Amino acid sequence: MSHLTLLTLLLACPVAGLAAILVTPGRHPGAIRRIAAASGVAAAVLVAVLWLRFDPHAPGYQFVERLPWVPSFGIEWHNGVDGLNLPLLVLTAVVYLTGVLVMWELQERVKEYFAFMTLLVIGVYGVFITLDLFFFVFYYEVAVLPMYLLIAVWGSTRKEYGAMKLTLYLLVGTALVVPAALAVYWGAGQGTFDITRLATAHYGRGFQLLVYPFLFVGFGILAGMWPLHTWSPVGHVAAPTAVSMLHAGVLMKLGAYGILRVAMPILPEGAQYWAHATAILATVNIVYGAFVALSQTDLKFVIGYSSVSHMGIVLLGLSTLSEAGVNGAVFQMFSHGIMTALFFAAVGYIYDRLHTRDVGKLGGLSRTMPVASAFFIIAALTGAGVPGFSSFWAELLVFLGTLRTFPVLAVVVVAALTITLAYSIRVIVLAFFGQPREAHPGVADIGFFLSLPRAILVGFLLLFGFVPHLILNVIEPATRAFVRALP
Amino acid sequence: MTRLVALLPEAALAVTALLVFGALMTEQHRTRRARQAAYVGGVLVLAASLLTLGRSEEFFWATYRVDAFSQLVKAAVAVGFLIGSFIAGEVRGQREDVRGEVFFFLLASAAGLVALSSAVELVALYLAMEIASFSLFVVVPMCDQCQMGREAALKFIVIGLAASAVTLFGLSLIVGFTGTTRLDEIAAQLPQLAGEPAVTFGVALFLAGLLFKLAVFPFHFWAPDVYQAASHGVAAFVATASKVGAIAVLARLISVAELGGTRLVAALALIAAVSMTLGNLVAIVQRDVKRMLAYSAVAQAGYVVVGLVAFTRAGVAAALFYGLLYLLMNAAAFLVVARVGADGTNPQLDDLKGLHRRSPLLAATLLLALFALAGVPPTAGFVGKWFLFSAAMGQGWWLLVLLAAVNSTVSVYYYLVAVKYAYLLPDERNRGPLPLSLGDRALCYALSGAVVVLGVFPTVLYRFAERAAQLLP
Amino acid sequence: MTGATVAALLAQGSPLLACAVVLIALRGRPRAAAALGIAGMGVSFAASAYLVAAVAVPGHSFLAQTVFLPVDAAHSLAFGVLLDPLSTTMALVVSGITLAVMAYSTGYMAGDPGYARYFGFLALFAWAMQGLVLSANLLQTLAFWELVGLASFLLIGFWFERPAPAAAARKAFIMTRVGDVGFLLGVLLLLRALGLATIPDVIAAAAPGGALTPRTVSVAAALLLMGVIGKSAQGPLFTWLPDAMEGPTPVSALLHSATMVAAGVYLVARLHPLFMAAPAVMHALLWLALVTALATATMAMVATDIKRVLAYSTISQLGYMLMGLAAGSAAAGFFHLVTHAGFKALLFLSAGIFIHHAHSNEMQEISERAPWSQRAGVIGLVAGSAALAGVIPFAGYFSKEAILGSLGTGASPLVVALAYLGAGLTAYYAFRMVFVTLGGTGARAHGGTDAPTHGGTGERGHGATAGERAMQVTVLLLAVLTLVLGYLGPWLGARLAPGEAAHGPFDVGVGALAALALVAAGIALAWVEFGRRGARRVGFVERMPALARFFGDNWYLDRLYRATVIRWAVALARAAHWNDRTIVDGATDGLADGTIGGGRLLALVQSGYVQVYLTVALGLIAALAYVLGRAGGVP
Repeated sequence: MSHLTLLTLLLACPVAGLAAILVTPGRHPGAIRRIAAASGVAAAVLVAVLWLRFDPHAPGYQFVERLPWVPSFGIEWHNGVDGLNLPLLVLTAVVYLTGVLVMWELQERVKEYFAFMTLLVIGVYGVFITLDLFFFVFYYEVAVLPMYLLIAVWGSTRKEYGAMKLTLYLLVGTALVVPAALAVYWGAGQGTFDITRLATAHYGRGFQLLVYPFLFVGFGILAGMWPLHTWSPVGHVAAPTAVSMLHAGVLMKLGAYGILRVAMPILPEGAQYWAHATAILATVNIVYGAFVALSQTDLKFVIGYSSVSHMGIVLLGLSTLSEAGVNGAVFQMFSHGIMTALFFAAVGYIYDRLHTRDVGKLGGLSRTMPVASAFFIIAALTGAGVPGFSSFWAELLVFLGTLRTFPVLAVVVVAALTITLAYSIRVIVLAFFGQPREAHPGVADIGFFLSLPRAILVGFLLLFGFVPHLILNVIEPATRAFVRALP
Repeated sequence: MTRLVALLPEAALAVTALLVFGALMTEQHRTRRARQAAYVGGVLVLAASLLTLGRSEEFFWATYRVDAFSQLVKAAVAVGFLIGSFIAGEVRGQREDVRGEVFFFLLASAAGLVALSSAVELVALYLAMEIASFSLFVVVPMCDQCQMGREAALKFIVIGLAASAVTLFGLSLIVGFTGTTRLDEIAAQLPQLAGEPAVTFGVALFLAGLLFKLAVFPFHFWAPDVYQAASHGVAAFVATASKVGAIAVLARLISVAELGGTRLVAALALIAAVSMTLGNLVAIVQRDVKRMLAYSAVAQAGYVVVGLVAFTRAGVAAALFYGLLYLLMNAAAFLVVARVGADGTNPQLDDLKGLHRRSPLLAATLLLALFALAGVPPTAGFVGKWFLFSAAMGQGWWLLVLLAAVNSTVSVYYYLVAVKYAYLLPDERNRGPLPLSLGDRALCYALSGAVVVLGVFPTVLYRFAERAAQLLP
Repeated sequence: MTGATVAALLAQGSPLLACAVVLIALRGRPRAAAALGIAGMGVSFAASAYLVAAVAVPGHSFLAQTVFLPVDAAHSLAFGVLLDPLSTTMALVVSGITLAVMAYSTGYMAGDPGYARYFGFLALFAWAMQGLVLSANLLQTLAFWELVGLASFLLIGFWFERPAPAAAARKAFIMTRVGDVGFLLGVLLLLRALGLATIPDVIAAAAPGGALTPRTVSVAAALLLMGVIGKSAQGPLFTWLPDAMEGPTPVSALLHSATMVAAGVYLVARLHPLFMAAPAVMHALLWLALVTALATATMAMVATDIKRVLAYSTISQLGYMLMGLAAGSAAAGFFHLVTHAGFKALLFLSAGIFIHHAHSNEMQEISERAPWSQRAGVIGLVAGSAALAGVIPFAGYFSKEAILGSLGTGASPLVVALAYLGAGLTAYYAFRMVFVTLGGTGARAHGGTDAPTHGGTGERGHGATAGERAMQVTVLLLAVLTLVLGYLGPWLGARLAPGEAAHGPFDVGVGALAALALVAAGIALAWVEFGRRGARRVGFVERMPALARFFGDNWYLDRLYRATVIRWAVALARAAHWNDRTIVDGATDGLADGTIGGGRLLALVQSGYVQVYLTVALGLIAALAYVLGRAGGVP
């Protein structure tokens, strides 16, 4: 069916939000906030509708939309949903909405802030729904454009450095992706950017082996791939709360999703050939990230490096090319997104109130602000792989897939769980247990309205921690088809 | 008789020229009248060339060819001219006695470009080029930082003359070997002459002349000085209209010459690579915004050549398309520059500080323009580059494309620095808000709107560019 | 959905529900929280009782499961409940002890700012443990296993403002996680080999001629044992347990009797056939458990903190349980687990009474503050110690007999001898504790009455508040229990392992007599050194300071870890951090600066001299001409 349907509507939500924000004069911050929230809610509702009307067992893509865009070039307005991107749409909806609520107290340059943030979200939704390689890269970079200003203007620590670093890294990534995408386009020789058709085209083995690294590394940079990961902690530390949430929660997933949706299906032989290398890289990610996190003193740096470590799990799951691994990777993308969002939301509140994130200056927070601390502790425990929260099952699946494919790496990675727990507990004990190291008079615990978004995130973690098949039933059939397509 | 309708743009130009000339003859308000005449003329030319877009005729013993391609370019030139003279506007920072003349010379240069876009015969081509150049030689020094202006103009002239000498030499070589000056006939003979180094050399020299107008390495040296020295309006014209003209004629030559695979192509690729890299790297260290834009222009020209190196219709179409987009983004950038440096001085990066408070609209326009130049979606720059690179990739120039992609990443750095000044750094001199005339606002909205819309929905314009490229002989 | 399933769900669900409600809604209302927690546990207890009585008749097991985790096309893991005599009995023990502890805590924790949170965590703990006990799938077991760890982390660190409990909680969590790595790998290995981890199927596959190769079984068993070692504080990983004393005393009671540490032993009992299929591993376990039992006994002999003594005794007794299991008798090991749960809870709770009264853990100080005024405490302490020492007819005697007996059948004489020696040491340190704590015999009865009151409850036995009465009642009940539990042996044996030769309670053989003799000797020694009037109150070990220091400091294991593993880990972390900042970031920043520098360099070409420009341009053209010329030269 070629008529526009839900997905275009979904994309239209943030677009309309952006337009409305732009025409609203900046002296009505309240109105602007409400507009942003409204667009977030609308999008969330649409995603819910998608989720409900989605049939996991139907083959191929659903809600497909096709319109010729630049016919002579084979560019199409082509969107679709399957089990791989539906969870990520949910993730985006949740994180965006909560992100807006978290930034409700923002005072300076509200209009510009929400404008850029909406633009960012447009890019994210676009990447997740599109099935056209041109638009994929298009949205992929749209998500990058506002990031610089969001961090540089509203950020905190070394914000200009962090923002510039982040932006340039991501653009280096696209600088690798664009030529590779064009190469694929000409290599397929079908004059189309339709990812599904590119996936069925035939490429020479040499071509695949040459081009795959470009795509993997190009996308991998955004996924925080070692050793090109340093932008992510620095950027996250510099970014304002909601931007950290969106960036670590959603944008890093764009990279992994690019590998999943573009690199692997189109160049399966390449994926096969490079699997060992990528798996080893991913393992380094996991272990290295955990160790670095162990020696951080800034809460956000800890989270940043934990993200590096956890994204390593995603990359590892993808590298296994096994169904369990890919299931785990997709699930981990989702749950890590929610978890990191919660992490940053919790830290955001603490930082807003105490104006420090240095564990050396904090301490005893569980006494002064029990609820706010509880949110952080829950996130930390999720990250440490405590069951009852969704990450546990996701990581478990990845480990299982890895044990099947790369037993040695599996042992290493599982052993690294100790380090993961160690840095999580270390932070909890340093920052939230013990006595306050500095007096923070008159600090109130988090109020109901601000705890609402965080509670929503916790709810999702618990929901999929207790009934993982709720989401895996959606992912699994798609993964099956995906893995079957690989040689 | 109806054939002559195809010459409507040229006719409009002639009329306008007379109008402006007349306006300059009058005693009082000569400047204002000249300006109004120029506006009217620009609009007329634009309308005329759009009207005759469908036509395809040949005139003057088939030395002058009107086709979709030429008319599209003419329209673009008209737009460039309009924007240039609009930015010149009150012509602040222009020498008192010659305020009005600026419009006349700009018009003359535009006429040269218009002719250039239609010429299919070497001599005509050459003459058109010279008309376009010489009127610029005259107009550049007419600004009140005279010393600088004169010096820049002198360089401009010297290099320009050198370039045209080179062109002439190349031309003579070509004519000598082929015995004709008609492009199509030359094209017909090139294949069997391909082995002949002198011919290739001749072609190379002839191209050099165009590369000079396009300000590609190694013929770019005049650009920074001229951009910096010329008044905003003139600089804008140089940066937009004459660029498009150069791209157009280059594209026309490329499309007829069957040079694929020769060393000449390799040389072009090399030139592209160098000017991308050099332009971007040097732009990083500039503090003067106009100078920075000049270097970025060198880099952008490099991108265009990347597209042309493909020597395919797709490449030509992409180049033309990008030329049109480039005109818009650059115009937007220069508009902001002109309004920030409203007193005629060249704005430094520091002058951009606090722009987002002084005038959110200008800041936004600058943001979009710069991101477009950097090639970041949803602005038009992304699509344009995508087509260019794709054309090159189609011919297997993957290393060149990779370099180009990396270069656009590098370029993002200095564009972002400018954005940082405009959006991030507070204005410690805290100057008041920038007053914008109604026209300025309209133009800001129009240009930024166009940049975004074309970025998201390039289809229509790109189809025109393709048609134009297909219809080339 | 049969009655059994419902009961099983109730047994797990009601504590979870209580926990959720308490932590979310009732944080501000302590009394309601306590009531709800106790109610939840009550339901759980009743359900477990129903399961024991109705469902799990010997030899019959009930398995209900539903798809939980789709792995891939071929496999999807089913979670559920496995109800058989073992699991249901354990569930009963867990819920019973937790219920007792909760009742006790209403008095002990009265007035604590975190009262409500405390009961929420207790309920969480109970839920995790019940889930672990009843789980039908090893993966499910693993999940609850981790949750048990989490709950104990939260409870050990309950007084998180104080540095010591926080540190102890962290240590407990991380050290057990080290073991869990093995557990996880073991489960993954089984999953990889079988594609499923449902406990009965795994056991079937492990049986000779099953789907698993002997090698796989051995590896899996060894890996799973790592988890057991961590949780049950055996071998090198025991040092977290003594520190865990920093938690509130009732928590220690729970932690040491029926929940945290019991989980490891329970797992071995649960998978006993699988472990028995790996004899080499079992042999290693036997020795490990033996060494642990003896080593920790020595530590208990010198400890001065009453809770530490009890902690070491726990480790030592866990060693005995594992020895029993390793020697091949599921019944004996599990029997000891049950009795131990009873009397260890009793010991801790009665110790709690003294601590609550004297505001000190030091036995010496307790003895100076009129310990005899706490009747219930005295009774509990004596009864519990008798059971711990294995004095007939207290519960400990029977179960320890059963274990020693089971050793007699299989293991080497050396093992048996050492095991008996251990029994003697146990008696010694148990009664050393008793005599030292109650030693003053009221001589300095007026000792610590001036101690600061704690949490608003009075510090004397008479005129006790409702809370203190609850504490005393609980203790007395448990004291009675220690007398009863011992006679369950045959019943348990018949339920658990119908095949095994049951060790009747009173079949007094040589072994039993020897054991009793050793116990008597131990008690006598303790009496001589501490008990009798005018005793020097110095143990024979204390007379050798070096040895005493060695014993008292966990055999220097913690020092060892601090000097090696921990230091290395920290160093590695620092190195990684430095590398990130200096090498990786340095490289990228250097690249950026290099680019800018390149720009500066190239900018020099723009010298502003037109002649330079022309030279460059024309020179390049000339070069082009040359190249093309060469090109033309070759046809």
